Formats: sequence, C-alpha cells, structure tokens
Amino acid sequence: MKIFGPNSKLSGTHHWWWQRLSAICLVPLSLWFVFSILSQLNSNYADVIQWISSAPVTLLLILFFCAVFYHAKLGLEVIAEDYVHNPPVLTLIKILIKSIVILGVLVSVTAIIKISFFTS
Amino acid sequence: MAQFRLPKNSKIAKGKVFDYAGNSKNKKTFKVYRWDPDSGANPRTDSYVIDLEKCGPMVLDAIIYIKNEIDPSLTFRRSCREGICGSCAMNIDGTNTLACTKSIKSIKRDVKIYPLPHMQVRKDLVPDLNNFYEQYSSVQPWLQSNTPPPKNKERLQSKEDREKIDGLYECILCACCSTSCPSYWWNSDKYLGPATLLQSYRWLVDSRDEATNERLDALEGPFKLFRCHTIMNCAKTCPKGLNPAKAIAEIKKMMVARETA
Amino acid sequence: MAAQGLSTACITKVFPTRSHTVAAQGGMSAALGNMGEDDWRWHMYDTIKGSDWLGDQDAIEYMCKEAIPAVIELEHYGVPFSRTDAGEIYQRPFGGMTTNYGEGTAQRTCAAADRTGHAILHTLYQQSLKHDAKFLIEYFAIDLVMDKEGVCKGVIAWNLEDGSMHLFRAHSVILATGGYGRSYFSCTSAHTCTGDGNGMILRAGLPLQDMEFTQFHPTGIYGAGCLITEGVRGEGGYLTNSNNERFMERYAPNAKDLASRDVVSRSMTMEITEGRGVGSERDHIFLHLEHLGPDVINERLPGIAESAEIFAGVDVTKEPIPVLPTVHYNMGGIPTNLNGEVVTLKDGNPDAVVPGIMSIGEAACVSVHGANRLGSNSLLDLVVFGRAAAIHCGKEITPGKPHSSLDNDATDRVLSRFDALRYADGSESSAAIRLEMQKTMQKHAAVFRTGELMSEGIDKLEDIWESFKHVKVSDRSMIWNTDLVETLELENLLGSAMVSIKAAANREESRGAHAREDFPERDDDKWMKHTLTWLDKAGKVNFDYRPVHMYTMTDDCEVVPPKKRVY
Repeated sequence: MKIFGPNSKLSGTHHWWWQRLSAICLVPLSLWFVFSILSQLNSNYADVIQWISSAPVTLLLILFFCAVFYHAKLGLEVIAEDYVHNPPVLTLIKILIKSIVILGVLVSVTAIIKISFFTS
Repeated sequence: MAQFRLPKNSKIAKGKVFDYAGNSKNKKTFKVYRWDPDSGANPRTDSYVIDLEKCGPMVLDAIIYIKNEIDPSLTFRRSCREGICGSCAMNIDGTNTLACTKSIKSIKRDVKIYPLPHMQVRKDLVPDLNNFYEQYSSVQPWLQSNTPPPKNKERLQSKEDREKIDGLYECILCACCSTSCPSYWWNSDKYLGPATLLQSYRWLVDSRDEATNERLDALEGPFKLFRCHTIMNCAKTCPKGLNPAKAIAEIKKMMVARETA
Repeated sequence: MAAQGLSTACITKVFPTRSHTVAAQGGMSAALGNMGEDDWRWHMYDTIKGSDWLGDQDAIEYMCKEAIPAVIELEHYGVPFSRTDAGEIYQRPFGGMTTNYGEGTAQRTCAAADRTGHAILHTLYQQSLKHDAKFLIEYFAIDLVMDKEGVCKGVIAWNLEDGSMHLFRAHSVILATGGYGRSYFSCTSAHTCTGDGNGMILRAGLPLQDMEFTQFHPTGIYGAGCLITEGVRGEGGYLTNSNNERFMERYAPNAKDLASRDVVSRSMTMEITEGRGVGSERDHIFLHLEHLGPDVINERLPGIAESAEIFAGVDVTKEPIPVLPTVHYNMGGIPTNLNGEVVTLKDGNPDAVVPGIMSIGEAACVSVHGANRLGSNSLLDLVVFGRAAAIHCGKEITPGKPHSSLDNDATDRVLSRFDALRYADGSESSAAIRLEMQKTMQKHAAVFRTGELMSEGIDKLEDIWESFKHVKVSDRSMIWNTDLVETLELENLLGSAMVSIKAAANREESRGAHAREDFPERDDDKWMKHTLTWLDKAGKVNFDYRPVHMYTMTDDCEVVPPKKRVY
C-alpha cells in the first residue's frame, strides 16, 4: 500500500490523515498506559524498573510517547494555523512546536532506554 | 492573531425603544441591531414593542411591519418570503436562519435580531457577502466534462446517481452555515466554508462531471478544506435542513482514498 | 451573450440566484416525449388554446419547437433534472398540457423535483461564472437613458453598496425585470417583483401590452400566499370543497384538476362565492395529496411538504393544504418580437422596433401566453427567448463598437426624478400608499371583474396616484437606502397597476384570465387584438391595439383557428 505520494508532504490531506491515524493508535496505547500505571501504583522502585525493562513494555512505552508527541505536534499546528494569522509568526510558532516535540521525544525515549538497558 | 474582541467602533450601544403595542395582550419585543454607515456612530440595538395581532406569523413579517409602520430606515434584505431565495438570512434568537421561515411563536424570549455573525456590516442587518460569493465561484461550480454530450439528447443519469446530489443541489447560498462556523470566523479569507464546500461536493458526486481530480487538487492544502474541524454548527443551523458537515467529511474521505490508493 | 465575446454586464438589484425565477417549482415544458408520445405541435396547440387565442402563433411555434433543444442544452449545462428509470429527464403532467390536440393528458413538464426554477437559475448563474460574465450585484436600475430620437442609449443605476450612481452605455439594454405581482395585496410573487422594467418603459413614453391579463394561481397557501405548484395536481393531487366533493369534475369533465389555471381559479372562486368554501369563514379550498403516500411526496414534492408545514402548519401526508387563488403571473408586459426586441405601434406599423431596448421573461409580452399562461411555459419562455435575444445580439452587435455621444438632457431627466424622491418630504409613507394600492387592486381587479367594480377601483387608484405626490421618504442616505428603493419600486408598481386596471375596464369581453361578469363571452370580432397602453404623467392612459399574429413562422405546422375553449 502506498501511503502517500512523493509530493504530498505539505498536503492538508497528509496532515489530516496522520492526525487521525495517530489518534487511532493512541486509543489502545493510552488505555494500556493508564491501566499499567495504575497497576504499578503499589509497586516499589525496583519492581517498576523491572517492569519497564521487559522488552514489550519498553517498545510500547517508546511507541506511546512517540505517538503522543507526534499527535500533539499535528494538533498544535492546527491550533496555531487557526488562530495565528501573521505568516512569519506562524512559521516561528511552528518551528517552536517542532523543536519542543523533538526535544520531548528525545528526552522520553532516552529516559526509557536508559531505564530499560542501563538501570538495574 | 485572530481577533477575539469586538473592535472599539463595533461595540454595541443601547438604542432607542419604540413602544407601539398599546394595551395589546399579544405584545412582543424585537431587539434589532442597527448601524448607520453615514453617521459614524457605534452600532446600537433598538427595541420595538409591537402588537403581534397586527403582523404576520414570521420574523420577516415583524421586521417588515416595523419598517412599514415604525421606522422606514430599518434596512435588511428580503425577497421571496418563502425560504427559497436566501436573501433574509440573519441571526435570530442566537441562530443563523431565514427570517421568512422563522416563526415568532417559536421564540419564547424577546426576539433578538443581528446580522450574520463575523461579517462586515454594510448597514443594519445587511452584511457584505462579496467574499462568500467569490469563494463560491472559486470552486468552479459548473459542470465540467471532456466527453461531449450526446447530440440532441440529454446525458443519461440513473435515478441512483441522481439521488446522490439530493441534499446538495438544494442549497440557496444564504450563508447561514458559513457564518455560523467558528473556523470560518477565524479564517474566512483562506477557509472556503461549509456552503462553498457543499457545492464543491455537489459537483464531485454528480455522475456527469469528470473533473473530480482537478476539483480535489484545488482543495488540497491546510486551509481551503481542512480548516473544517467537524464543529457541526453548519448542519445545525441550515434553514433548508442540509448537512454541509457530512459533505465535507465525504470530500476528506475522497482526498484520503485518492492518496492511499 | 458573454460567451459570444460581447461585453456583457448584468445589473441586478438582488444577487442573481435570489431573483424570483428561483421560486418556480413545477417545471419547464418541452415535448421531449420521454414519458410517452409527444409532439411540439401538440404543445403549440395547447399553448394557443391556453392563451384563449390571444397568443401570437408564430411566437408560440418558435417557443414550442425551440423548447426541445433548450431543455437539452440546460441538461448539458448541468441542471439536476429528476430522472426516469431509463435515465432520461423526468416529465410530469401539468394543467392544460394534452396530447393529440386536446385528447389525452401529456407528460411534458421537465422537473427537478419541485425546485425546477431553483435548479435552472443556479445552473445558469454557474454558466455565467464559467464564461466570466460581469455582474453588478445590488445595483438598482433607475431609468433608461433615451435620446431625442427615441433610441435607448443605456441605463442609469444606483449602487446600493457604496451609494454611487452609474451611467451604463449599451448598444442594447435587455430588460428582464419580471412581473409586478406586488401591485396586489396577496400574491405568490417575491417582494422584489415590482415591475421595474415596466415602469421604465412607461416613463420612456413607450407602451405596455395586454396589461389586463393577470393570472391567479389556483393554489396559493391560504393566508401566506406562498405558491403550491400545479405539479401537485400533476402528480395526482386534487381539490375539494366543503362537501368533500372533487368539484373540478363538474367544471372540466375531461381535464378535471388539470384544467388551465384561469379555469381552475374561477371554479374555486365560484365554489367559495356559492358557500361551499372550507374553513370557519368558508373562504378557501382544500388541496389533497395525502393519498399519494410519503414516498412519492418525498421524491417529487419535498419542497411543497416543507412549505406547507412552515406556512400552513400542515403535514401533507395526513391533511389537505388550505389554498386560495392568488395573483401569480402577468401575461402582459413590454411588447417584443421574436428576437426580444421591443416593438411599438408607430406610424401605423404595429411591429416598429425601438432601437436599443430588448426585453425577455415575465417583463416581456412576446406574446406567447396571450390571455392566460399555461403552467411550466414561463421557465420555457424565459429560457427560449433569453437565448433568442443573445443570438440576436451576437448577430447585430460587433464587439468593441464605439458609443455615440449623448447630451446631458437624457441623464438629467433621470437624476432629477431620483433626487426629487430622495428628498421627498410629504405626508404619507410609501408603505401606506403601497398598501392602499394593493388593497384596491385586490378588490377591484380580481378573478371576477365587472365594469362598475373596476371604475370604482380606477377612481381610487387615481386618488392614490395623486397621493404619491405627497410621499415621504425618511432615509436620505445613498448607502443601502431601502426606504428610497421601495419608493422607486412603488412608482413602478403604480404605473403598472394603473395601466392594468384601466386596460381591464377597457376590454369588454371575457378571455383567459380576464373574466368579466358583465361580458361573459369572448368576442373575437371586436377583441381579438393586443391592447397597447401608454401612460402619461397625470396617470392618464392612452389605448391602441396591435393585431394578434394568426399566422405561423414556418410551414411545419398549421394555424389553430379560434374555437370555444373547454377542458
């Protein structure tokens, strides 16, 4: 299946479609995340570290945070486009959103990897 | 930024009160937005208390009565008075609708009448619709086909294909839907708005039209189509009971289907 | 016209899709034969019979013949016509439309559900967008600019949006200003149907034709006056009186509820005057369609169901609609020839063309409708003759042709009239004068007319004409001054009303929509002719006549000689 044509990067369709896809992915991921956190409420530090270190949990956590930040980026861009009408300011805000999101992804993924592989 | 407050010269002042109802048992107060471009003064809401026995059942009847009997300078558009021409679209009791088909009885409180929201006002209840009309023509709302039609004979269209444009072609271009849409309020210069997109879809699904790809291409980008955030005010307010939101959703589906195919 | 490379501007006081054509419901007739055998000659016969032999037979031939390519062209433009199982344009029966010269019922009226006018008007507007025609929207045309030789040089119009005045020079001014239904109190016409073109023609010293013929539509909603299409009866709806009797069977044993509109309206009025009306006042009639079932109603008459619900509070699947004959269409108007050129009687020539002006649609009188128009012939009239006018202009006018000079007198006359009204500071509001006129016309020039009733009406109308000299305009602004617009419209209405009632009193016979109790028979020897009416500033009307064209355009068909009109 071809997901998108080569020139569709800037298209509204692309943006809109991925916002929906990321939202759909987030439904099970968020449910899993919330239930997992709740179930870990009574665990001690070591148990939680051990839980995170299991391969499927590490993978799911990375997926979850990537999806959250990607979805947030798409959503924040829409909001900015809605309300910010000055083109240079809009570009600036979009760069800002992108930077924060990349930072967020980097920090969260690094943290998960660090916990999972380098903490015992 | 989008402007969230009214500009200073648009703040609405308290207007005059005209009590013409006498001792009538069937009184109603109509609070009507007034703005006179010649005076330069801020807009105001004038109150007219009238005897409902003396005028017809619809809000349009009441404002015509006010114009005829109380204040001839009251300005509004009207024509067919049966809900087909789309002239008398205004904001009545908080909802965009046609004054000619909105019954006075259906409004329990004082009847508040304003021009269509978030449009430049020309005078009283007359908004400037030029941008709206330009957007309509921008989607090239006419039949486009490369196949020449049969000579001396109509193009054939099955009943099923014809049914697909029901609920679309009936639009009267009154602008109630577009001017009820917050997304259109913030971005009316870039977002086409529900009325125009409904008409775009009317041609996209007409089995006789062959410009589907070009039409979809023209709607690409973040603004023209995708500013629709499914708020659904358009479907709720449409005085003809049409559903522009659904048409827009269908266009989005067509866009994605085309990209992912 | 724009498609032919001519510089074309459409000056309109409302956005184009808000003109009253949009309200036409039932359809547009053309002998396509999609629903059974049909022939344009049968259509022609029906139209002539419908016109009570006052229609010009050459024009009717042209219209009925051109109907077929015209509808096909509209379909090619994209009009969303309803369809048959075969995918062809759906056609429904309509009043007065028969097969085989009056024998059977024809299904000839091409329909887009019950919104045909809407579908056609929107499609035509879309086509003009395609061809990039220029539209001057919400400009109110004040008057024609005529030079001393009586040649029309253009038009002066007022831009409501910014208050500016414009002189438009044109090689041809085409008046498509519709009827003057609003001279009556109760009419199916829009508020904007104020006979503006008629008023302009009268002020230019030109005549109007057959102004005595005003059609009452049998089924206006009681009270509101909104139209319920004849298509309802075409689809099987019928009328009943207080005895629950389908009384049309008595008046028109063959066509029954699908007799011509004048016949149905008169029959309804007779039922009411003889005490068989329905309702607490026994002053209206019921129109039934509940037996058709929700499926047929939803597919073919959805707009009617909506209107009846809103304006009469009636669920048409369960209850009948209260209806009353209501002023609907003006057969008379600006006399034109087959090309749409305005004609007048000059030096004994009844077909003298007035250079520079044309007219089409309800404003014009070609005359294809004669004394009574058949339902679904009006959309046809405006499409066919609109097209004829465009073709004619394409032949006559070379693009880029310079305009001749114009002296100031021609424009001063127009502007001084405008200024006088703008600053009019009399004692009566235009709304009050308008109401008096409407009530007078409603009472004195209604379905049944007598000499006495009309001469009373003329006296009243002359007083009202006088009172217009004391009109008061409260708004002095140039921007969106609708008080002044309505006053200008009132003057147009008053002119139309005056010639209409005087022409009615003048015509001492009954023909089509013009039914006189004191002259109940048609008098072909004396009155088979078109009335021409000129109006002077004092409200005095001068009469003359043009012969009815009792000849055909080609040898494709034969003249239909007059006979008694029974349905």
